[in-house]
Amino acid sequence: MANLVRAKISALGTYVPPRLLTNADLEKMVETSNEWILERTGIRQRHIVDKGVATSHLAVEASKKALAERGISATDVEAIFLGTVTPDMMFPATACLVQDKLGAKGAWGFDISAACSGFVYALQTGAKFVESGAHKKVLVIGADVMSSIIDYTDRATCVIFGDGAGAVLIEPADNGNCLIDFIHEVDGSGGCSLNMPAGGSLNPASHETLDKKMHYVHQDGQAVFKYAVRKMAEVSEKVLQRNGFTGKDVNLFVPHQANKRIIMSSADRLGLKEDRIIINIDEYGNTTAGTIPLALDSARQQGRLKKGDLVLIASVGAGFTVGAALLRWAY
Amino acid sequence: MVDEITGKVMHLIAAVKKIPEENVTTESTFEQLGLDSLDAINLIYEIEGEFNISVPDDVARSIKDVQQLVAVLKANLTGDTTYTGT
Ligand SMILES: CC(C)(COP(=O)(O)OP(=O)(O)OC[C@H]1O[C@@H](n2cnc3c(N)ncnc32)[C@H](O)[C@@H]1OP(=O)(O)O)[C@@H](O)C(=O)NCCC(=O)NCCS
Repeated sequence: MANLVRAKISALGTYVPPRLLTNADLEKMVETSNEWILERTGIRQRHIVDKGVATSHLAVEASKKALAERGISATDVEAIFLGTVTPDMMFPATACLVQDKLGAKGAWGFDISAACSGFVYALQTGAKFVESGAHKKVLVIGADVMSSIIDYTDRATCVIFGDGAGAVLIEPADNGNCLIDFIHEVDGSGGCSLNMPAGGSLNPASHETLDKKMHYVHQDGQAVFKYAVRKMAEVSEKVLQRNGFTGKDVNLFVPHQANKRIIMSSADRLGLKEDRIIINIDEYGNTTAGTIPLALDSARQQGRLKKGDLVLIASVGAGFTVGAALLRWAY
Repeated sequence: MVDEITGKVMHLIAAVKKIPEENVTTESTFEQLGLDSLDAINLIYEIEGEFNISVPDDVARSIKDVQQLVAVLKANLTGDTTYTGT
């Protein structure tokens, strides 16, 4: 494709709330064990917000860090695209709340509801607005407060999720270190395998929806696991192949952190060794739209993300949504 | 002598679980092999790809040993996708 302008990630910031929820804490809350959680998911702890802290708070903190890193002010931002399934409220969009709190007076924006693929979908949205020449500075955010929709008496879901956020700035690229390609897919028939049934127009909040615990995450873990294992590898292979690469060319595989076992079996299929994969699910759990930027930040802190590195991002989430991004790290 | 299909299944089990092939016998249960429910999903996914079949989730969930897995696979190959082998 002969795009005149390419887009790049020019800054990254992340934020997690300080309070920890460890496996030992969960052992006191539900019938589970540190051993089971570690073996089945690879998670040791999650960060959880205090009461009154919402998704926009995490998003703003992460965004401030990204802007500071780039040395620009919020008023320079032209658009904000925010992936989340736990908006502060049904409306207005959390992107609007973030715009206000940040003081990004010149920015428009909206939320993207694609669950664990929310950040990857927002990333492509941001990239397209830059590539088209419409904007020069776009803030892309993935943020979720999953603890607000988790039933802490349901051991099958409460051990998995955590809260966290990440933000990147998208700007025009002046060389090949840019966002190269994306492949996304949706299989809406999987909607029943992972959802929060109430609170929308189908089942508005009522005493009944509360009594039936319909405002929490409901999940068929095995169905999600199987779909994720299949799709993470499939879409990754596709995006590599389409751009003339194989798994061997990938410097860093940044998978959505849903379950270490999903990550390892996708990586196996791609022929990627552990030294090419970022896994930080042990620290954060599954933060839904937050995982990819948090993983990029971990890679950077470990000195594993260098200018020019070929980075493969992949995600699967409720929907089902599937996302993949291929890029060369630009700074 | 194990037949070709059984041999392939045993080979895939060893590959998925990263264990020596000689540890896998036709009598092995998943529990003996250290395969938990998530390993089993991976294994069935590999088998579906290798034999170009589709095993319904509820059937897949009921499979607990090598013999049952082979039985399900053989039935599936002849068009019976609901057989659970028990
Ligand atoms: C959730 C998940 C870890 C559960 O693993 P699983 O092997 O499918 O677990 P199952 O539900 O089959 O349960 C296996 C056993 O462990 C038990 N169990 C479930 N959760 C448990 C927990 N937290 N602690 C201890 N035991 C638990 C079950 O009750 C069951 O016991 P039983 O065999 O006696 O009936 C796994 O399915 C998974 O990770 N799925 C993908 C989820 C995901 O990634 N979601 C986000 C997508 S973006």
